[in-house]
Amino acid sequence: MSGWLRSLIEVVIGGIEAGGIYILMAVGLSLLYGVTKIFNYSYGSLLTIGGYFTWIIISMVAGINYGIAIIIVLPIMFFIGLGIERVIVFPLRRRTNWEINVVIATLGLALVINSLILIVFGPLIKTLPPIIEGNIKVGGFVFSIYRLTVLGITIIIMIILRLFLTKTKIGMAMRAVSQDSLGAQIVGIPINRLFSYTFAISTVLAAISGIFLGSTYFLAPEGGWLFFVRAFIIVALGGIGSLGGAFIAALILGIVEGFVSWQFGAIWVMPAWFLVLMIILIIRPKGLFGVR
Amino acid sequence: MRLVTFNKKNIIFLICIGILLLALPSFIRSGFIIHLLIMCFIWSAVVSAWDLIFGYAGIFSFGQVAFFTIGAYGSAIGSMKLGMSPWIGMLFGGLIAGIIGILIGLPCLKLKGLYVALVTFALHLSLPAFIYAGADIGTGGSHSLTNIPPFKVGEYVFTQMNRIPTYYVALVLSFIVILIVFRIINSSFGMAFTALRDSEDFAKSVGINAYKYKIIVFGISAFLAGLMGGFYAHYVGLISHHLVGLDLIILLMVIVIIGGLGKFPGAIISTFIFVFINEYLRPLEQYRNILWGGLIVLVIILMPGGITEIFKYIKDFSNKMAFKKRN
Repeated sequence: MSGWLRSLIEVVIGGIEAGGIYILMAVGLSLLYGVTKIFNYSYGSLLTIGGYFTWIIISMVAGINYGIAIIIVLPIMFFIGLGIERVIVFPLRRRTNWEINVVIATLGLALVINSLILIVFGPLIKTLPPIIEGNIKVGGFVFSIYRLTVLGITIIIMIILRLFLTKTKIGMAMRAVSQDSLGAQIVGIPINRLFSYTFAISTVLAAISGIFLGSTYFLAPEGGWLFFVRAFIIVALGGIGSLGGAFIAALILGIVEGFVSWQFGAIWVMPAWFLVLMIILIIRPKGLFGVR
Repeated sequence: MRLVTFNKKNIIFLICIGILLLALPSFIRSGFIIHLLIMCFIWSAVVSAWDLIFGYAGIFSFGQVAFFTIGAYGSAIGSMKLGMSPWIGMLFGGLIAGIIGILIGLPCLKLKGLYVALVTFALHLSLPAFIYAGADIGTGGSHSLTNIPPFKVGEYVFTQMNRIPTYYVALVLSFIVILIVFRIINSSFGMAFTALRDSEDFAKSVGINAYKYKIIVFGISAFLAGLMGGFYAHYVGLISHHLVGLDLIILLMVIVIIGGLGKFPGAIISTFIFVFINEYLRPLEQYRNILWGGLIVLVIILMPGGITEIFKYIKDFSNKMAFKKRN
């Protein structure tokens, strides 16, 4: 195998591993928008506080199991999500132009959260320890066990989410709301409660990906913004509201990211993401798997 | 139908404000206050152009600061690398911002409103990356761009030492920009937008081409923001990627939201209030952003019309009082 081809395959593998970390973050955003038409600008900040909460627990309680820390953090994030929906989104939803009002209000909230993180934790970056360490070699290529685990957990969560949406009553109600929220209301689906639940689930998904991202890269007070933009670009490529689309788009964009940083340098990664976004909007604005 | 009416009272009021602004430098000894007033002029122009698209045209753009920064860099590079005079550079920066605005607007103005919000915000957040990556064209990479040549007229150089001449340039420039915005709001353009904002389907059915109007006005707004960016670059002499950090966009959002979206002079009035408050709250450091972020959330929930609503409440209240007295 020539050296160039070999590096290319390595880039693709690295890209899939990197994309795997982005999947859940994009799924949370896509689910929220697909069901409720809420676009949550504080998503990146919620992702960051998910990571920071885990970091506190791990560094405060010595020798605590990683899994237990996560189990403590996720319900907290669930209730934070419920609270935000109740206090900020709910009062706005009665307006005619509520979508953009929610965008502005959650942007304001994101600024508050960013500054709070900065005050409480300081400007220095924090890193979460990886869940599992080590590498394995398959056919001469090195795979990181940690990133494979992340991909595995992601797939499991996606399956659970899929079962939840197709088999449970709440999940089916969510799909009904996403197809026709007025019709769902007419047949007696408690739409306000569903909005809260969806918001909370999306916040939990943000927190999980915050933990993944915090242990892969780092946590910084304003670090959530770039991940928020990436999540949005993945959702735009995959098609808004399509969870499978988000999965595939995350992997594609992960590979693009790997390729760009290999060929042109890491500095061009963000411009490349933006360029991809513009190309999607020109060629196929509804995304790869979008229905609307 | 005119959206902003000119009666005798308003005209006298405007003339008074004009005389006040023209005479102000002769009363103020502090160069810092003059600097803040110049910044007020710059931001009131940027904010009016933002309100034009956000409040009137219903284009939910978060790219105003990005266009401002593009204009600033365009102008600085034009005068430093391409040998333009700062005045031409300013126009050049504005043109670049306008062209980029149109290029971004072309695909996403066809789509639903939220796409614009997200794409322009993505532009805002990825602009620092473009600035780092653009070291070859003279953006200075991760360093800030310094020694940007100041404005000149003949032999006279507008320096930071004596800011009063710059004050008048800024006053005239922002007056022109605000006048353009005002003319657009009051033109058939403005009425088409109001129609589109209030009932898009109806407006389309009477033959208003939403897309064309939106592209034109989005480009104009980006141009005006870029123009002011160019002015800022040559006035301050130093620009960096910190312009597209969060501090500036928070301040401008507070100004627009509290001034009231689509309430024309509201945003200009709140510029003069908040630029000063923001400056005097500087010692609060990070707590200032909590205050501003919280204020954005509160105002959008409780008072979506901005400060102009307070005036309305007061008017209603005093009318009620007068009514009670009469009976």
